[in-house]
Amino acid sequence: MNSEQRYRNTLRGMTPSPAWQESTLAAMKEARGRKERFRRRPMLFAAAAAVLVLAVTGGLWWSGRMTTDPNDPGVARTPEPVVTPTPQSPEVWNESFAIVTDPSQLMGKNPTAGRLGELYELPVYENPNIATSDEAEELMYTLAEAIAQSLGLTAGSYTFEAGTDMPWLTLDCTDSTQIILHGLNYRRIYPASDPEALWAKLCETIRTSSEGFTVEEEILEQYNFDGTAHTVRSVFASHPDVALGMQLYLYSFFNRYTLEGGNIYQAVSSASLLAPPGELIYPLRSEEDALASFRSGDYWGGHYTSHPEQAEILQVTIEYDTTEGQPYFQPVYRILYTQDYWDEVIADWMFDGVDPSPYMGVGIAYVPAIDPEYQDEVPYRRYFNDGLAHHTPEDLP
Amino acid sequence: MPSLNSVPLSCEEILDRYGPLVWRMAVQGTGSVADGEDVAQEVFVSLIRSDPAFTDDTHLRAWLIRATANRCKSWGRSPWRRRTVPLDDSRDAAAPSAESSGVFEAVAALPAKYRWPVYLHYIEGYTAAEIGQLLGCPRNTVLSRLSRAREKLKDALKEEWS
Repeated sequence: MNSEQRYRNTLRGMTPSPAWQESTLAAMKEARGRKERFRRRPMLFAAAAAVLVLAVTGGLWWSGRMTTDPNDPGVARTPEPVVTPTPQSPEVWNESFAIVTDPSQLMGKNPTAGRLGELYELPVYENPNIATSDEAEELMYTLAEAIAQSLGLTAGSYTFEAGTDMPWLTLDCTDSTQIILHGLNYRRIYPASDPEALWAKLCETIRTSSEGFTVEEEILEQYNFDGTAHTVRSVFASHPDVALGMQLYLYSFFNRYTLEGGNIYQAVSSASLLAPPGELIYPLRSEEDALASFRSGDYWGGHYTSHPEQAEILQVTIEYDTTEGQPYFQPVYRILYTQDYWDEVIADWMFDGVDPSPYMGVGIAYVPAIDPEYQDEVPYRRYFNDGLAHHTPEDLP
Repeated sequence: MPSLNSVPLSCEEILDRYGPLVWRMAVQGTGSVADGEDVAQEVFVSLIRSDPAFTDDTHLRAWLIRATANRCKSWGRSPWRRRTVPLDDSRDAAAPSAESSGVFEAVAALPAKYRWPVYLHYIEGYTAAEIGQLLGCPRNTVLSRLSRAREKLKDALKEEWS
């Protein structure tokens, strides 16, 4: 059996489970019930509908993607435009954003806020990958054991496995806390119990090991559909007397740990990055250029809007992208934005019994900060799960 | 409720007819059964909320395919998910058999612009012209992406994709 046949057999042989079908059916019926209870007619949707009416009466498809070519014999199932009977623009229901009560909840403590004009060039760091080997296993175990000791934990057994890119080491502590390393730099701590206590201990350890620096805490907060808060707390060491570029380096890399969902994460250890960057210093594109890229629909990230051209920009900062799976850690513009129609989407999304009025939506778009002329030299990647999270103008309706 | 040829569709009908399509596409798009199930469910809930009217089955399929592709791309609502969700999250989820997981993962690892043409052509049986209309790009672009995808899969799998 060749690879193509295996692919067909694999996916066609996979079918949704009865449990998934049952829960999905329930979710659909719940959505239908909510829809029937209160159907909204937000002003923006009404405006979109007016455009739709004009386009249809003008003999134009509102979506230029679904045109029909009757002379093309290869088109057996030519899609035609989706025409909705309601004034609601269907794309907005596929948009993705965070729910907050105030945009400042996702602004953090980035030192470049309001100071982008001071930055013209920044270093790029190679992703310090590590290959699977006996030496790597020993090194990773030593590191995990040191982390355990610094937190007052006792190391127990461990497992070491080769990953697709870098090896994994999982150290089980005697109290059942797990310390997991992916390569040398990506670290996770899964507390056995009382994550707050372990977090406090970690912060204390960071303060002790950051002599001469100020250890700051950054809190980002958003809300779930049931109105409960989802809080992400990070610590990092800072120093107010260094240049802005170095402040950004410290903010992004230096002793930065994050507590989220009861687990502790460290994106990248700074230890292996401090080598002189040498020639890996690149000029930056301007803030205006980055915003133009976003407006055109060319940006990265887990959030998505089908109307970037009309988004209200709330904040623009630069940070280092430390996500896994990319060849270089490089600066990116972080664009915080909102859409006025998201209030209406949120009102429909929030669960029954939750007052939607305090909430608003904010999205975060990332645009590589390196001057595009040099981008080929330091390719940018950003993943969500196993897929590239790159939005392009072709995605827009 | 969404309707087909002015006839309202029940939730059961929608799920029965289009559940496997969306579910498989979401699993392929996220690379994980667990995440794919969440995405697929969101797509169907979104369909109910959007309440569109379709003139035929093709329209409805096109809507679902585009919605699923968009959801897969924007999967991960938290901006901090990047810091907290391991890339190999799916290793704990149900997955294809070991024998066939390589090819599944190889396709899942393709950039979206290559992955969706491969999925839509080899699994759903769409022609290049149809895929072009679904994804909003010319037929020749689809053909070149399929060709490039086959090269990438050949490299990844160390065997011809044929």
